[in-house]
Amino acid sequence: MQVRRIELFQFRNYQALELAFERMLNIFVGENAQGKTNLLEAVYLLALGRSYRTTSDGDLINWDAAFARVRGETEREAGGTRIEVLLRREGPKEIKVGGENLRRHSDLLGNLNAVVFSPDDLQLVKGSPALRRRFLDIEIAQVSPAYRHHFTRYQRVLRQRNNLLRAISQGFARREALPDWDEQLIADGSRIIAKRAETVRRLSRWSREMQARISGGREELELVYRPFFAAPSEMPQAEWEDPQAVAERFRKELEALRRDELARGTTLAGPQRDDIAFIVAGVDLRYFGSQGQQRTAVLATKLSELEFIRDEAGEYPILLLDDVMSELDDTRRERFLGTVSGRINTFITTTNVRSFPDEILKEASLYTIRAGTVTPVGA
Amino acid sequence: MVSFVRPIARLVEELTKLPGIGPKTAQRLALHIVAAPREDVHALADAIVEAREKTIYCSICCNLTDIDPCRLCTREGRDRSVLCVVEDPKDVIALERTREYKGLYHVLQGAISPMDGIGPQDLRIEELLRRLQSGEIQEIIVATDPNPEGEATAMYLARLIKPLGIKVTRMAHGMPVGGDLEYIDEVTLTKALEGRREM
Repeated sequence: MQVRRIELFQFRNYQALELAFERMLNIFVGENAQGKTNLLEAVYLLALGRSYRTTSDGDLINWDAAFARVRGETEREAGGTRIEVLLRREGPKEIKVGGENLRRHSDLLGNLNAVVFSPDDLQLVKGSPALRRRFLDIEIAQVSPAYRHHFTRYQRVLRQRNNLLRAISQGFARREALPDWDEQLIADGSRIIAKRAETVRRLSRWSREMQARISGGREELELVYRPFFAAPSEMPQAEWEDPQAVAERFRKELEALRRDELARGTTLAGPQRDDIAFIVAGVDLRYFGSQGQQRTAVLATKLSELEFIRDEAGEYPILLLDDVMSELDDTRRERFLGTVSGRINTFITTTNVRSFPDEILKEASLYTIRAGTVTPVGA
Repeated sequence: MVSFVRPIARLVEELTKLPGIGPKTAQRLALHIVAAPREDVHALADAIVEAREKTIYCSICCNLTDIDPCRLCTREGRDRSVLCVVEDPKDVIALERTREYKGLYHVLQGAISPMDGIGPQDLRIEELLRRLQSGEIQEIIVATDPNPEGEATAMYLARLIKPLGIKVTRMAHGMPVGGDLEYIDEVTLTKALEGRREM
């Protein structure tokens, strides 16, 4: 997949901008706070319909403007399309694909797949489990409409059930009402767990090789999905990928936790308590990995994510590297870029263009960004 | 800042309380109303008041009506052994449009939703149970919405009614009639696959 053109209007610090991308690799160079990241954010918006930096669409609209618009042209093997996202300060967001208004915004996903890699992602291994779950959810949601459906539903059932548990503990509702929500919690929750477990097993297939490549052949990385019901010593099982088997364990767990749930007024079972472990040579990197190993694992996981999406969608997604290359040492940076260059449509922001090897720069289109103005270098 | 004169501001404020009406729409409606012919505005105001004053809930099915019991409950030729349970009056209208369903209705006036503080006691469930006592009704079709709240309500009803020896059925999910397979979204297709039947 490729983004061939992008057009920004009143988006963040851009008044009006049009850019055509000729090459696979595009590097945006500039000082901080000039609008480099905003540009990647706009590309991401075309793919996911929202930002990866803020949950409020209002933040994306230029200060004095009432609306912002981002348009793009994509190219893929099955034929490209035009995507347009219109954000209003008051009123609903509008998303168009091929000129047609989408009734459901989630239908945008899959038209343009994107993987973003920003300094926040460097916390993926050692940060909170929520970070790792989010990583998985965004990745799977891009390629599976069914996952999006179950995920959205599950969030709502979970919220309702938590409210009910609180009401029961305060004496406003009866505990007999819980089963009405349990079945739905189990039905959607076990599908989420099964899909995530399957995805992590497949990611692991690539991550072994990727870790070896970046670490120079010394290490193999294994990713292991840890459902909430699994004991720490429990090995991954095929059953974790079977929604029905998961549902049975989920149900048992829910029964066992009932008293605790009532006492604490919140749901204690379910995929919102799952995690992913990063294992090298039998060691959990979250607790026992060096900082270097953890970093390599993040890179390997990101590279595996690209492969996973290619496997699902038939094409590589686009890759957005937001100020993250400067955080890496020369070896890791070169090996990472060497893996993606030439194959994957990549957009990079950096303050320091000299940190890139010459063979990478040779293939790239360079742009300088200053105060919301983008100038191609050498054009 | 210049704001509207008091009477218009008040109208805007009242309109904003309506569902789906934001401040901008409310302003537009208010300005339209004050500029409209006097008799049109009176007709609108009268219609609002009359609708509110003359509408009551049917003491049997809990649907909105102007006479009690409502016309659907008293109509000749309806099948009195089947009862379709829905969330809202608009669901009754949708089902009636089919002209195929000949049974009776019961309108719950909502669905269970803990986050909105709505429990079974806030719905017209007691009225429903009272209707079942006569023994005339043999099947309950639960036609609440297929969202989490509607499903929870359906489960609650099944749990309550099945022990009484009455058949409880749920509306099926599936493919829209006349739809091309390729245009149906994956989730609907999956549901339709799960609910397939032998030919």
